[in-house]
Amino acid sequence: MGQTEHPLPLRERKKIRTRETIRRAAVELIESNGYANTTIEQIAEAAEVSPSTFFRYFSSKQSVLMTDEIDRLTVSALASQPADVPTIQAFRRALQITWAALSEDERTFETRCRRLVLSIPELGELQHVEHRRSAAHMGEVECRRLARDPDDFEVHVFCGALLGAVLTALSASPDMPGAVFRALDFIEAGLPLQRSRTAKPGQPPESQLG
Amino acid sequence: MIVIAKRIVMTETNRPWQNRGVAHTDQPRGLRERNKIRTREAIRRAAMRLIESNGYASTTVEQIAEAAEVSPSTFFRYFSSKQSVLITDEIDQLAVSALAAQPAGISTMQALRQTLEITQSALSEEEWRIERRRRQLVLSIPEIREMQHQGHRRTAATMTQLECRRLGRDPDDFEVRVFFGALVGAMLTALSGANDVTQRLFRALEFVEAGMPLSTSHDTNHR
Repeated sequence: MGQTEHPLPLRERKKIRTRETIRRAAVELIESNGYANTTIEQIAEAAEVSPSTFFRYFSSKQSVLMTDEIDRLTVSALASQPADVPTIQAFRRALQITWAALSEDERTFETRCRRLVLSIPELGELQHVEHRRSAAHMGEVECRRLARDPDDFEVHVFCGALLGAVLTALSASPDMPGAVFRALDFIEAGLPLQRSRTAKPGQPPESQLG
Repeated sequence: MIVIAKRIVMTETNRPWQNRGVAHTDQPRGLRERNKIRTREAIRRAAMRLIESNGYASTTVEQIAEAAEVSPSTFFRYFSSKQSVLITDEIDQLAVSALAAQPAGISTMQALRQTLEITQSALSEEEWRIERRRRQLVLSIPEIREMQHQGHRRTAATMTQLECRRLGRDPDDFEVRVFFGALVGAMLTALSGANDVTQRLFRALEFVEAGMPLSTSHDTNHR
């Protein structure tokens, strides 16, 4: 992940490199052999680390694919936005900053990773858990930034809604970050949903599902 | 909960939305069916009482069965596991039926508000009281909370489909999906407190309906 601002100490940089090597090895293997057929031992071997090193970086095979880095970086970029910028704009700027800090190669990799995650049903649930956690964290950050009570109902609901929209946008389309920006535009416009112009006026909705 | 299932049967004639979408209402229920519902309900209540006083981890299926005066194998005829005894999608089903019955001419927010109102009044005070207790338990047990949320997300997916159809849009319309993604995110956040469930849901819905205006501290006299 592109850490920009201050150069990190060597030790820290090495850690990040190892982590990235493991992630990339995992994506390569899972793309070619499938999620179920890929073991942690294989990932560790391909990344030239021991399985116990793998577990120092990731708690499970699932977590190696979860791209919480972008969430995390975005939320910390959000915290440093000025207090008079509305949440939606602050979030958009934070995402732009995060995305701009990635190299072309990293962007391609994140998109690949995202596409892979979408193709593995077992990971769907975990993504939601991660997102709930991110939403709670973002809520705290936003309450502080906007100088509101730490448990302000509206700020938390807003953050929950925002990340809910982002997650849905990303599962509708792996276009990172285009889909997210589209979702942000839609929220900023006040979530307007009109009836399709092509639908016949007064056409009754069908009530049966499926 | 179970009482609600009964309610669906009792009210389907005068509540037309319940004849749509949800499939479990058609035949009148015989004695056998009513007994089943009673047993199921008794097991659930026993489970809630035990878990409330002894905690989830230290409550066993055997204890629940004993407290409900049934055998463990009867327990498993009604619930597949200790987890599933606390989980229900009955309220979600009511909401889905209510949304399915909304006319084409109104806005999504109007349709949702009506849906929430219909759902709220479909349960008695007593039923909501039990539901609040259940929610409190569900929220306090992470694995159960996740299972329940998974159910809510399935409901949202169903509602998205219904809404695409009602609005005459493609079944995988990006905006409708994002709208419901945001709505579920808002709802789940609002539901993370167990008190005043419907109150909090209405508040979240109003907030979304207003276009989620979040003023910064500078331009508000908030607090």
